[in-house]
Amino acid sequence: MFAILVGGTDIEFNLATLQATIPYGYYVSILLGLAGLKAILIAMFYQHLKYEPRSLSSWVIIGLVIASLLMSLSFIQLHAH
Amino acid sequence: MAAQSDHMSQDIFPPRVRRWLFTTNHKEVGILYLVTALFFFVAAGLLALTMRTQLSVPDNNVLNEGLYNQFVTVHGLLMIFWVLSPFAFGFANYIIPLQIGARDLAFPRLNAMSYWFYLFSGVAIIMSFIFGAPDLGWTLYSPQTAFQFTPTIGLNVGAAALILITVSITMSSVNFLVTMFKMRAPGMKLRNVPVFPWAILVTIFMMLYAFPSFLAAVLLLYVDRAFGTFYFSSIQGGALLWDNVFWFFGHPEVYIVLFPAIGLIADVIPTFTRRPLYGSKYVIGSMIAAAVISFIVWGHHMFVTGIGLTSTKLYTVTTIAVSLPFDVMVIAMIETLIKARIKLKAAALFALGAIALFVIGGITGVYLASVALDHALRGTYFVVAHFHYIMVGGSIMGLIAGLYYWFPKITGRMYNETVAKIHFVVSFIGFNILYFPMFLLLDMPRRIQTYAPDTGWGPLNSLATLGGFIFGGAQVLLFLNLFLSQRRGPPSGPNPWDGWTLEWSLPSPVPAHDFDTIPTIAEDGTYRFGNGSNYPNGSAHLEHSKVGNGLSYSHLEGMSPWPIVMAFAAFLFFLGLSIGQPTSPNPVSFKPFWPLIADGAILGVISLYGYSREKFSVHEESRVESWPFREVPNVKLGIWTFLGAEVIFFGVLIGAYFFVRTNSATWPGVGELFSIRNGFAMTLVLLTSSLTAIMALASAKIGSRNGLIAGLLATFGLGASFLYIKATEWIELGTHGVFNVANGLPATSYFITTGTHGVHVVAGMCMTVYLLVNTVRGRYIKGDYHAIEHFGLYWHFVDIVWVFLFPLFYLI
Repeated sequence: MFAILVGGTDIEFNLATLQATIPYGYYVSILLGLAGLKAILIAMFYQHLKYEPRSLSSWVIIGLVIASLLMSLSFIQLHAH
Repeated sequence: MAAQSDHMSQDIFPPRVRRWLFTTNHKEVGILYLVTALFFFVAAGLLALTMRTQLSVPDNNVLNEGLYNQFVTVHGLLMIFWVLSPFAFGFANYIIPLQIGARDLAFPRLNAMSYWFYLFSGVAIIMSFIFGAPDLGWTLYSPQTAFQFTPTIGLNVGAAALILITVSITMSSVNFLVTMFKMRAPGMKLRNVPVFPWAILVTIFMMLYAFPSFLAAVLLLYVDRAFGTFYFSSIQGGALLWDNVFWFFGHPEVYIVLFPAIGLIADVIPTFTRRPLYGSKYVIGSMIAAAVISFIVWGHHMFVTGIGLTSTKLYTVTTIAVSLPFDVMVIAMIETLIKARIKLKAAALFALGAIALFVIGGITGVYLASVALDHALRGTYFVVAHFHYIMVGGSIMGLIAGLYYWFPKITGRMYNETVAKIHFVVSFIGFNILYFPMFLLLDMPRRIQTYAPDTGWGPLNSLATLGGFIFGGAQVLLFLNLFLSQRRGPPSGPNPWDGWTLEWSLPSPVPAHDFDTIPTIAEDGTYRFGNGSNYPNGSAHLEHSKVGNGLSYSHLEGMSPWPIVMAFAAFLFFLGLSIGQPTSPNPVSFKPFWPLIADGAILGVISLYGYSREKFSVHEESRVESWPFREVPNVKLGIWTFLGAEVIFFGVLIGAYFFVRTNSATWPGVGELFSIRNGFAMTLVLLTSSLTAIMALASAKIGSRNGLIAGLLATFGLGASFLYIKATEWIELGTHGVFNVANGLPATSYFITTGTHGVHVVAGMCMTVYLLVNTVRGRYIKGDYHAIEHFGLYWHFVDIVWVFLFPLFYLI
């Protein structure tokens, strides 16, 4: 898992050097997607959420989904100014 | 559960004083909350009466403009933060463990600490008057909060007070959530829990999601004033950024202060109508729906700020939608009342009055959901009347109903019913004379110190002032009645109202240990006690009988000095951060008052050490209802809940960064200012430190002391390395004059966001030191490794935050 996380970080680092060649929207999306994936892996395997009772993992996931929806709504609303 | 401590300051304080300073018992903490909230209620009420005196006639000069604005602001802040919620949580502290069949809250010392943080935060907000209290309204709109418009440091002190109370609320939220999910008596399934605890549970969820946003907003406000950052004083950030982060919290907050009263009313009405609450599960479902919708209506506070048409349409729909669950709640209560023989005791009268006043306030809120009407009514006294009908009419009256309802249970004595009824009549009349005229003042702006005679507002203002004094005077009856009755009232007996909920099965006042035997609730949800006619589910009960066949537990009292000491340390620390004098106006910066900061920090370290070393054991009942977290230990659930709040906190900080960046025409390109290599290195270091934390846990599980020490040392070292790279980066950027907070938003957002993350890293390293010391002493390797696991949860979360900050600041 550590190797995967380091590898993901390495991909991010190298993407930055190629940033000029990638459309900016895709570039940002890929980076944030990679960050999200790393966060999920840390939560699942380092924080052991994968091995916790489903009630706890559901609790966390529901909270994250709600938080993400709220943040997304905020960004949409901010962008619509 | 009962708590036991072997650490008590035997000689310094008299026993009675010691008891109240060091108690961790939920009932005593509840009483402390109630008394303190009532004190702030009086203080805020006196501010209001002074304001009403000022406005009673045109061109008055009882208060000058500056002082009037301070009174308006502190009145609002006190009522919302220091009266309404604490008043409700005073009841929650006392009653909820009794209603769910628990002996105390999950974390008694944390509960006590919540109270002391609350008290000291209140001291801070009152102290702010000395330094020039905040004078911008409780909403603290920017850019008025910028230093050039508010040069006094009273606003800094106010911000410190708000930070302290947010910490208090977060601790309480975690505590109540774990308690209600994990400590219910056998058979007390969630469907059998009374409505008041459900209302508190829903309130807590809202607090967990809303208050971190507020904390982030106040933090950004503070750094703007203290360090000259630009979040709220720039065109790209400014008023709109504050509006969004504040009202994201602000609208759920108004339901946070309302729902406990609704839950309370929903418990009171059945008792005095001798009927179960009609549609109780729909009432609970409606509360949940309203709580969820409350997070997507905040834009209706911003209809006149120029937000786009799409946004206004969305918020109009959601604002009207949020009224629907409240319709269900009110209809359920009215249905319960129809053709019921209502015992018109004071508690019932206040509950009924609260419903009526809440309906008026609610209807006027739906008017304000219309964008067209809002444009006309925004910032006028119509709005003032609307929210006072909700906050005072609905919430305060409901809470006073609770005061009369539970006064016999808390004190063991009955109050004077006649005086209480007079209190209700005078309050109800006074309230309507005070606030109804404000609906008619719909062309009078709010927050003005005076007005000209030719406006024609004089008569209605005079009437409102008269009503204010009637309403205020009526509360004297309340205090006199309760104070004298508490000393000389007749014994109330255990169940003067013939109530059905578990607290009425206990003696009045309730003994320290609560239940002699933890009750067991029958499969159909009934529990037998009392001498009334019907159960909530309709089955009759005929006799006094012992509650359940649960476990027995001997009485133990737990006291600890560390909650008050820690709260006082935090108070000193934040006060020192806020009362420093400005050193330069442009960019503004404040010189911290180091003596207080140092005192607070030293006392904080001492209290943390004392708290951790204190042998404070908390017995956990073996038979409890704990669905859906049956297999999750209490502390772990508490930590995950806390981390959820942290997600919102960092989410808002990152959101603020997105906001200002999206609104900025130019921004430094990738690699222009930050070394990507530095960011990459810091990411690798932090990821490695997570690995070493995992290895430390693995060592602890297998009982390897050396492995555990090595893992913890490595984690500490890597954390230090992270901070070293960060510090060198900051110094290099700052000393070259290229990039400091005065350079605008890129610097502002970078330093503040990564700085906040850095503070979390420092906190984690302090935890590592504590764990190392204990490991050297032989702990955590004999099956008691949970502290290592809990530390890991926090440390990995810090890692997760950086996983997002690295691409956001270094790569995009």
